Amino acid sequence: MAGVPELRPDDSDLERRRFSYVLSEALEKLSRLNQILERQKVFITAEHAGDESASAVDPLIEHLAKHTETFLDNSSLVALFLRGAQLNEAQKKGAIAALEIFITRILRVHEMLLLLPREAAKPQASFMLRDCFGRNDPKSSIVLTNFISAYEYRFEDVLDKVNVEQNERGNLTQGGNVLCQAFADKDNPLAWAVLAHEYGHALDDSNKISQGLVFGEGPESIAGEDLNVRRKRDWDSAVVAETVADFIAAHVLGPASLMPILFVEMMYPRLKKVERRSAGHPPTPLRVQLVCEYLKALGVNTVDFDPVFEVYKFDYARKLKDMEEPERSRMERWEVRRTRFFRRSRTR
Amino acid sequence: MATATVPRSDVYLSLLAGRAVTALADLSSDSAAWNARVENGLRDGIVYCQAVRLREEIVPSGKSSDGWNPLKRSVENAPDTGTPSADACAESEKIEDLLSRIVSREHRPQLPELVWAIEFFRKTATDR
Repeated sequence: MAGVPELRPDDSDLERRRFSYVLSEALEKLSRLNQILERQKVFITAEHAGDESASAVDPLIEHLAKHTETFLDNSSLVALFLRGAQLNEAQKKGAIAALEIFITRILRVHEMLLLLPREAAKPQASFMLRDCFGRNDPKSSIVLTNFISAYEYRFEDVLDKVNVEQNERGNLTQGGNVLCQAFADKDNPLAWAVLAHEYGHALDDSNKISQGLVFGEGPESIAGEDLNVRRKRDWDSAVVAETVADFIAAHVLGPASLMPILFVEMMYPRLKKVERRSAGHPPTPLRVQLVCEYLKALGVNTVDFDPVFEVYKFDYARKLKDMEEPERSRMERWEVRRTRFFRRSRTR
Repeated sequence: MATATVPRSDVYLSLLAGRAVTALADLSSDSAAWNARVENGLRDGIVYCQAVRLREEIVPSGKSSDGWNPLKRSVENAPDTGTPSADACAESEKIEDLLSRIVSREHRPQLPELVWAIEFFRKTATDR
């Protein structure tokens, strides 16, 4: 899965499998969102007994219900698609479009959870991390976020997401480890794998693993260093840090550590633009390849997960093809640069 | 409260797009098929096209629809966002014309036309 994935010819089996993965992910998120909203409604009703005024929750529940109803109007078509029936191009596109519109609205409602009182992450998520990494490792808090794929590990990064000015953050550089988890996934064990990646960052920071790989024994900052050289080293450091975190998560959870990332990405109707990507994350197809190679070196067989990797590759290539120029070319150049970086690192 | 940070039109427009897609997919299996769901879905599609252009007039491409928006800022890493482009406006006129002719039964749509219209709704309704 190195570099820019080749666009494969139409493959109805892959398309069908991709559709079923995305559909299952969407329905799972819908179910979890409905549970959260219904729970919130109970809280609000209890707090405002006898008060007839509308709550913030009702429009969200109604909105989800209307979109569910609209999507269910396509039930017969979706069933035919999943069964592999012969469909014309408009029917295929119609089924995919209906699902993508439905998902977009589910994600929007998830973002609206920002407006509701906070709930806490399940303690089981912390227990899982402690069981995986041991009791003596850095302590981390888990907070819930309204962004479905926002998994951060530093308090400063969380603040960065809400654009708190740098000078306001000056005194908060020792915020500690805060792992963010999507609100909808507060009790979803499948999503806890991503927390393991974020916890990998905490371990990396405390043990200076990626810093050691990039800077060796030398100082992280050199007085009078050329700005471009400095930027390059920072970039290298960020990319290596992400990969180290991937490896740490994979070390304890195997290929399953990648599943939430791949499923969430497949759920989005299009790829992120280059400028919206995290500075450090390698392209996801490359992350998959690196983790698989790492696991292979550990003697872990990933063959059971190959069907998901194959569908992800298909999904990624499709979305890359759908990107408009000049975005697509920028994206391809970005991928090539990152792939070369890892090839060079490997030969070193 | 739910519409305080997201324009109300945006919340409901996607419902119209979803219904239009269903109607177009229904028609593709039999272009002569006609029922209340198809007709209403096509009419919803017409309203959607008009709203896409109206949104573009109110909020030119690339501009935020509601100024400072804490919700958007907090999810800035989400995949593509954006208001409809001038291309989308021009395309919406053509799609509206197509849907109007189908609704008035003046035109029996061809498969490529239906695919084109579905793609339009998919792209514009999943722009966040």
